[in-house]
Amino acid sequence: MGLPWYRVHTIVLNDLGCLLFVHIMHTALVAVIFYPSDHSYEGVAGAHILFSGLCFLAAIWHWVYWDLEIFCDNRIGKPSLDLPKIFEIHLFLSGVACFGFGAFHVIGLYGLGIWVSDPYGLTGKVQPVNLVGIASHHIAAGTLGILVGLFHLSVRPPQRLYKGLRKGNIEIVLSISIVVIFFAAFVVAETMWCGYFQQEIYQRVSAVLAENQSLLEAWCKIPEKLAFYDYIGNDPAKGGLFKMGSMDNGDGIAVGWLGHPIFRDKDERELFVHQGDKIVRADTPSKRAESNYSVKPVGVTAEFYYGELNGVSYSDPAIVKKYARHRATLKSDGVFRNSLRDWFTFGHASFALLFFFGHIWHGARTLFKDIFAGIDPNLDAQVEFGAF
Amino acid sequence: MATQNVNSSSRSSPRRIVVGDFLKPLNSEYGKVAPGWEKTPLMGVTMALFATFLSIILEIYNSSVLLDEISMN
Repeated sequence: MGLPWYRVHTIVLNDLGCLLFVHIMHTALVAVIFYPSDHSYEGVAGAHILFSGLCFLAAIWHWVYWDLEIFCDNRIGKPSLDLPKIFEIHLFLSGVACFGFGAFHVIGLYGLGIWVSDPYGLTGKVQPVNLVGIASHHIAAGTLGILVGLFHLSVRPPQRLYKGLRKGNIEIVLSISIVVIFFAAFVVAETMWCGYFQQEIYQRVSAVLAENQSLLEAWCKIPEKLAFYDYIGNDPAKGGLFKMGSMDNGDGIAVGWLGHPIFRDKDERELFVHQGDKIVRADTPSKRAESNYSVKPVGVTAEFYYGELNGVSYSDPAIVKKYARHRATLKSDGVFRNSLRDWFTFGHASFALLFFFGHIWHGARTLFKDIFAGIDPNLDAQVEFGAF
Repeated sequence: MATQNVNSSSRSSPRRIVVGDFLKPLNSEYGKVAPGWEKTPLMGVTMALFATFLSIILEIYNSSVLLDEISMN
């Protein structure tokens, strides 16, 4: 009788050649998907395809020669893997790779840099990047990985932790690996949802203003891609996820950029679109009743910097309100529809939740194996059942 | 049942390869543990310190912690 469908992959557990095979094959398939589509990077593309092919061959070799002496434990005559040691080695090597990536490849010290694309994701190039975040994160994380790896290489796990965390059981390794995946997914989903691009924009503008340059020059220096991500119409938290309709003329695809609008009241105070606990100075009343904060009495004006409306100023309340909704700055009809940001967030958050469930599932299976499968008959030697 | 037992004396021992001989020491300590809790408290303190460090840099970046020398704008 064959295995039920949800257990078919367990056949890799007793055959270490097979286990190695499936992991290498997975690497091969992932490598072949990575294909920088720009025609001028045949070298990188070719290297990945070659790597993928070699992984494929290695996988087959390991599947054929499954019975290797290195996997065999002489004491028991059966295959075994020293999982804590495997973890230590991989952690150390990952730390080295991470550090090297940050210190050399990203910065361009010994390497090409990273891919940086244009505002609309249509083109771009590989260039050395001095962005403080990316390089320094990899250097810091890599250093941490090296140090922690060295610690784990120098000591064996304590018996308490070995038994408590079932470190001899490979399913706990699966459970922990899943954590890494969903953690990364949550981080990117959260960043895309809440965004931090507005903060970055204002930091850059302030930095330029601090050098006594004008507002126009400050906004000129903002890369279009950054401004695009600041566009509030792309914020899934503001527009809902599943509006239907053509993305052209909607908010999904920008047709052009009218510029960054700065709103001022009649006292020349700069106003911002309401986000959180700031003082309300102007609003759009939802009832016909008078409102002291209505746009007209407050005298809100909108002046544009950079973009197509550079230098233009509006004081007509209807027009000011239109641009205050932010949707209009990308020449749209003002209706929120899906955007790349929506789908990115939705997809990554969904998979992150699935993987979180998977982590709990496999962790629970490992930790509570005795409860799920019945009591280990060998346990009888230590515990006397039926005493109470 | 379709299975059958085959008594075969021609099954050879596990295959030895050059790389395997180099790596064998790394896969020879299955089940080896240090007694009791050993360095677990040290690891716990290190983790707590690292968590504190991460919290500090997060809250600086978030402007929840304000330092004279650092302005987040």
